[in-house]
Amino acid sequence: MTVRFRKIDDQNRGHHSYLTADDECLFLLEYTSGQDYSFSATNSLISNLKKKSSLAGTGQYRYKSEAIDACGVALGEAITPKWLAAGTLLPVPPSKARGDPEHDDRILRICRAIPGAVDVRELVVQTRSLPAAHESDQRPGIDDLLEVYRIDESKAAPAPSSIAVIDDVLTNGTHFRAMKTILQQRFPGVPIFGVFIARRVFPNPFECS
Amino acid sequence: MVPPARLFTARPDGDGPAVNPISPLRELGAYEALWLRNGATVKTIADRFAGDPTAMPSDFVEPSEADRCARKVLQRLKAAGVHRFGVRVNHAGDYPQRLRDARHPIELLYYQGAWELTETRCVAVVGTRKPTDNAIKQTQRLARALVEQKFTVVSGLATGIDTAAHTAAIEANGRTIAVIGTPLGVYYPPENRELQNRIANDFLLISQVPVLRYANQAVPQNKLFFPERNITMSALTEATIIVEAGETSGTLTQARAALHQGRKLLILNSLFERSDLTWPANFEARGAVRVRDPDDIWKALG
Repeated sequence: MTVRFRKIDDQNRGHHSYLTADDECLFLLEYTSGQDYSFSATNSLISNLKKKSSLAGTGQYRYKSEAIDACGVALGEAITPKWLAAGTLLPVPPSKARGDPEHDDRILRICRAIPGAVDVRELVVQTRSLPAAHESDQRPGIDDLLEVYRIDESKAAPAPSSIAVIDDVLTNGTHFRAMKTILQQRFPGVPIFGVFIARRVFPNPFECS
Repeated sequence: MVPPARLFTARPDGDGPAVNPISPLRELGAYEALWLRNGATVKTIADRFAGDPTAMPSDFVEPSEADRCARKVLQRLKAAGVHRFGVRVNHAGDYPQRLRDARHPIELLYYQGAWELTETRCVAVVGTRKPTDNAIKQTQRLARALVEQKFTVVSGLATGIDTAAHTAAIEANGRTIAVIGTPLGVYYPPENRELQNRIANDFLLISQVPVLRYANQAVPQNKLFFPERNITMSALTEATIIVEAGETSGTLTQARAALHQGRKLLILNSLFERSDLTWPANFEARGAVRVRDPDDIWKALG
């Protein structure tokens, strides 16, 4: 069955501390943080997506490719053909820069797996590697990301008319906020949306309030 | 019956990337607004959506009314100590398709806790609010056995069998889900407050009860939400096991729902041996499983 996007709104924004009321973010699925729910379909989809690049060529890596394709198809069903024909799909850069053995281009591959995707551009690149947010106690902040994010001017023309920043998981919203900041500076007035496969939610009402 | 026309284009595509994007808050408010209409019941609301299967609550409610209701719900839940909760709504991700097996499917559910527990193998254990001591012991043994076999024990947080089932599952370090007949933040019976909060924090608490309608009407009307939640409990689980129930018990609503929805219905043998009950034999004739020993359960569940 086709799943439609849900929006981040006033009821659910509290799980994502960096998002503000003017951020337009969309997601397909939710998963609960904090315990081992590895049995859940969304959890295993995300963990398959995140299989390390060093596993390339192993049987496990096949699951990564399947997960990437499934995400591309699901996004394609939820995005309007009209928008796809004119908008720019912009993958969040991997935490490990190109050339790093753990460089993981899964988000770019998801964008390319969206049927009907016309304009997929790595318009924002990362100049050096950071610890992967999901593997690190010291998650990079917005300023850390802005320090290493650069617009790739060789890909800046034609200027985009509407941008969807694509990422797999929405946690605090750090990467989206950093992307939106640098893109707004370079392309003022162009609408920027956050598009996520899944967002993480907290089970316990007291966990982060 | 001609389905009511959609009145509002509440989810225009606009200039953004999404096809009909869903605002959970707007849907929650619209669903509550539908429940505030005169004569609204589970059936009338389900009929509306049966007539227009891709519609969502916001298609039938003025956006300003939906948003006003949503704000009231948030205020009310916050005042009741519910600071974080989620919703599941038909057509959005994470809505369990098996809810559509109910005769009058529920479009929107509230929950607290980890929704993922619905993806485990779930078995409902239900029964009377006034059980015998022996039935309590049977419930506890059954819940422990289900936990041992890695099933999640689902029940309705009522006094009696329900409470015994939840408590025994937790004490056995298992998982449990409560499908309650009150809105989130309302505790019935009041003495289960601590247990309800424990389940909301550590497991999963589900309510289909509309917050504003419940607050606007009296106790006798609100009692109807209890058997309705039994139908949802059955739809969410793969089987219902009845430990003890009288001839007119609300538990029998769940038994009927289980058979209608194609779920397994299991009835403990002791109930067949009671001369004052005719329903066990009736349900057995319609496909229920008579449980003489635990193996009958594992055989039925496969």
